[in-house]
Amino acid sequence: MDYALQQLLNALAFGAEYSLVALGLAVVFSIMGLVNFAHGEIIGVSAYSVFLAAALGLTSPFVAVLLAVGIAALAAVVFERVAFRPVRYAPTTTGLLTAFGVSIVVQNLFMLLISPKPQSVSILNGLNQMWFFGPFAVSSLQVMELIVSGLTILALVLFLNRSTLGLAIRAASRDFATVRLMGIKANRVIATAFAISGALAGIAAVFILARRGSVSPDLGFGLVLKAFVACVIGGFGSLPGAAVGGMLLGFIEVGLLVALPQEYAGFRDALTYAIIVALLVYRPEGLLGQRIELGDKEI
Amino acid sequence: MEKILLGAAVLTAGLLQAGHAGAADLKIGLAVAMTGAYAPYSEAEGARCMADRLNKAAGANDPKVELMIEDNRSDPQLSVSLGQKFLDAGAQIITGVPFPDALIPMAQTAQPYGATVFSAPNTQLEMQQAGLDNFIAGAVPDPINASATANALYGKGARTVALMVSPDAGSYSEKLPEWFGEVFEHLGGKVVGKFNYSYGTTDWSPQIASIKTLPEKPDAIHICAVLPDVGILIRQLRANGYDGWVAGCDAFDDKSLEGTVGDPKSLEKVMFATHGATGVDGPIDKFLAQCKADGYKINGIFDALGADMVQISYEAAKKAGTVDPAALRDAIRAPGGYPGTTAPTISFAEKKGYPVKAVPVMGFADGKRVLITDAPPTFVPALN
Repeated sequence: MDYALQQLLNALAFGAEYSLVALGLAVVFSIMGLVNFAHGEIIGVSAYSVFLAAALGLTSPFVAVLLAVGIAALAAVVFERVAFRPVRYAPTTTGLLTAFGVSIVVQNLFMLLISPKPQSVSILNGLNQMWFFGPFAVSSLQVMELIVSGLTILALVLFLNRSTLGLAIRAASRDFATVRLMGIKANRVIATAFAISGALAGIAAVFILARRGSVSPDLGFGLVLKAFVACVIGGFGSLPGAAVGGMLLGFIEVGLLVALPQEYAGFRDALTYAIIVALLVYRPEGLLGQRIELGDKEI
Repeated sequence: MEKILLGAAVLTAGLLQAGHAGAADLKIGLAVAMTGAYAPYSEAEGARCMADRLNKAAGANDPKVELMIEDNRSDPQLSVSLGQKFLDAGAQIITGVPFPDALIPMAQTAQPYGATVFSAPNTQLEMQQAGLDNFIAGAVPDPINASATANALYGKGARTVALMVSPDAGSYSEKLPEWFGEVFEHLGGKVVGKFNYSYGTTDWSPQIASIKTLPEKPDAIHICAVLPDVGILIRQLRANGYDGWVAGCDAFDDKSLEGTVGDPKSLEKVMFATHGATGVDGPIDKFLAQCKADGYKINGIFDALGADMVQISYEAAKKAGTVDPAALRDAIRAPGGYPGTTAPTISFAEKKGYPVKAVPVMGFADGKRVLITDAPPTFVPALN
């Protein structure tokens, strides 16, 4: 029982991280229809900025956290301005390819300008302590991740529901043309969405850095692939769906890691995707996604 | 007319001389990962540093080393294509991504040219079992690494071990821990558990919780994963109160291990087998430091392996008195071996496809690297 509870806590922490990154993807997708695979590199830019600041003498973890979030938001806006705005009206696949291109270019810049090898960053290590409650060992980072993810989602919901810009973003996600006819500037709405997405990436980068104690050129890429899966499970474009999908993916991964006998370990990824496919057969639009009419593609 | 004839004669003589000089060059084609997942394990800069040194020191009758280096972007298929390009440019030795999916087709491509695939960092057993006469690995195969670690760990008093395995890096991450377990049990120890993980893991909490469910705490945990994953694992194990040994493989051998783990006390019971003793102010450290000072972008131990590959090929060419590809390969495998950077003597005479040399097992004391053992192991599974 203790063991099951311990693993439940672990699954919640995994899920919280996936949710945080998935939300970043979903915010941009809901408005632009862009699957921003360069989101991982926004996490990377944020982490490397902390690495460089620490190398230049920064010692305050608090400032490091602010720097990580601020740089990530800025990087996301710059990516939008430089790479995604020119292809805003191009087909979806062009945007997808652009995102992959940005991702590869930024990763290669990290490799060639800094190093292909991991670089240690210890400034945020203090966030990761073990707390012992009887038989349970809980990482302070896991607890913080859960709390911060929850608060971030709450703040996002409040922003989207209570602020004018938030309402504009929500409206844009449904009908961009009408929003523009109401006199709201498209560039402003989209830049805000990217800034929010970047800030979420920055928060994720803080947790990743605190856990890893190092940066490497590909540190965000794998996570974004998982976040993409989380978005699909939850329903692409749905913000609550991204959060729920992330949590569910965390539970599936930890569940299989724990429950699968060693001799079947090689099937773990296959089983993870089999479960996801089964879910999508049951709900093709994702758990909280909206059904899209497919015309003659309907079975 | 005389001027034209004279000009033609001079030009022809010049071309003949250039052709002769080119034929005497030792040409090595390196399709290496400058970008992509394998970039941290590239041997190119060490190879370049050694080639430049040898060329500077070469006498009038010595061959010159010409390196052709291109980025394989960590892509096996691109490695094969670049290998073909190097062969067409006259390379006697080529190399690519150090895994079978690149090296086997490269060796097959190189066969009609008589050329050799000499992969400095390759350790995978599959390459020794593929039956390719023109393949040479610069590093000892994984079972030898596993055996050296098991001997060192058993020698330190560990009697129970939990294995961490992953299918993500093929036999390196899945079979090597099992070969380690086989040797450990052969010595009298016991494998008490086996746990899964994936490459890229940054939160080891589920695995650590599973290890805690074992009836007794294992004396050691063995894992062959890359950095920063293993650094994070060590940090999280220590934070969870685990004070036993963490044993591993050559991928531990990077200075970022110390930085990622952080607290030097957490490194006290960490050991790993590698290709040469680094961090102990030995000959490898001196070579790498000098190369770095000379402006080469040094990666670490894999650069020392790259330097070995160039030096051995060069010495073999001198011994053979020719750079004919087949004669060169025979000379590489000549009895007596050659001096290297990672070991005083490296010989391919006995095993043909991989070197016979000592396997250092490194540990830590007060946060500094120390040599625990440095001998070729006797009982080696899978290769015997």
